[in-house]
Amino acid sequence: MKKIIFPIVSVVLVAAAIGYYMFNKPHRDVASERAIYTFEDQQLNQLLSKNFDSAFSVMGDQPIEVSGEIKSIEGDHNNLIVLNGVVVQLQDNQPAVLIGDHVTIKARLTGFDDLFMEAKLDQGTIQPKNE
Amino acid sequence: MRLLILSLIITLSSTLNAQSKWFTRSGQIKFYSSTPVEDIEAINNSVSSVLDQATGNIQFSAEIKSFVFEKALMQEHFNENYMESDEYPQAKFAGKITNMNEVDWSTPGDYEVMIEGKLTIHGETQEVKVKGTFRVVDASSLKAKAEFKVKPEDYKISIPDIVREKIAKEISVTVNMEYKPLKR
Repeated sequence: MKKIIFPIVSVVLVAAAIGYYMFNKPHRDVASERAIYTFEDQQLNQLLSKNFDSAFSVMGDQPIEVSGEIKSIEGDHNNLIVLNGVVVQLQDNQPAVLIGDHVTIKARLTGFDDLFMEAKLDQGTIQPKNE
Repeated sequence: MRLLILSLIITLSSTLNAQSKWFTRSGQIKFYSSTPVEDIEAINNSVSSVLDQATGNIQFSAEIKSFVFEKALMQEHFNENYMESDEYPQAKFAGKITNMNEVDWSTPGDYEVMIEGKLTIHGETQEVKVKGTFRVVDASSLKAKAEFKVKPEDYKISIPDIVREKIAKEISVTVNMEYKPLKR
């Protein structure tokens, strides 16, 4: 009898542990991922505005680095950075930036806003300048 | 002389038009599903919207992937299994305020508005009528709020039987916008 109970109990415990981990698994951390594409702001905008479906099927949800000059800073916590044709929602605790600064931001591509004709990204982190 | 008057009219009318549009890129849409088994909430803080004060036309656009859940697993299921956000990355609304004449733009205060239009979620479009509130703050700030219910089945969002008890038949949606004047 013991020979049967032990394996069954172990399987149940392992399954419960996996289930518990899956239920409480941490959110994705785009900041720790390597960017798979690098673009200038307008370049990214053009790609998405001209052929959204094929571009998004490749780059959607992926970490991307986008560079450009800050045109506007919006949102309750000033965490929405508007570049030329690109809007990025930043993660918390990012270095302070100003309108006119040239920045490189790593973020996840979430879509293309056809109200403002802008590429949209979130979970953005300001990348250190290569000097 | 005629040319001068004409150019004056054009300049004046374009100035008026420029002042009558409002926008935001950081609007909030929240949804809430409540059942005896589980309460689920998700928030999107980067919703875009444009409102034309002159015509009453109003539009919203929200990226589905930008809805944030407390649990990562729920967010994953929401995107992959229910909303299929790789295929349908955006939810949209385009409609009109039908009682725009009842809003006194020169007097700060709350005004009840009726909004009618087309809501597109998961690639499916439905006609909706929603009551909302405009709060006229001053010439540079307008707040808007609306609450309504959405049935997932109306938008062909299928919920597997195994989780059926955990997801409400009607999802409550709350919209909160803080508009600024659109200067072009």
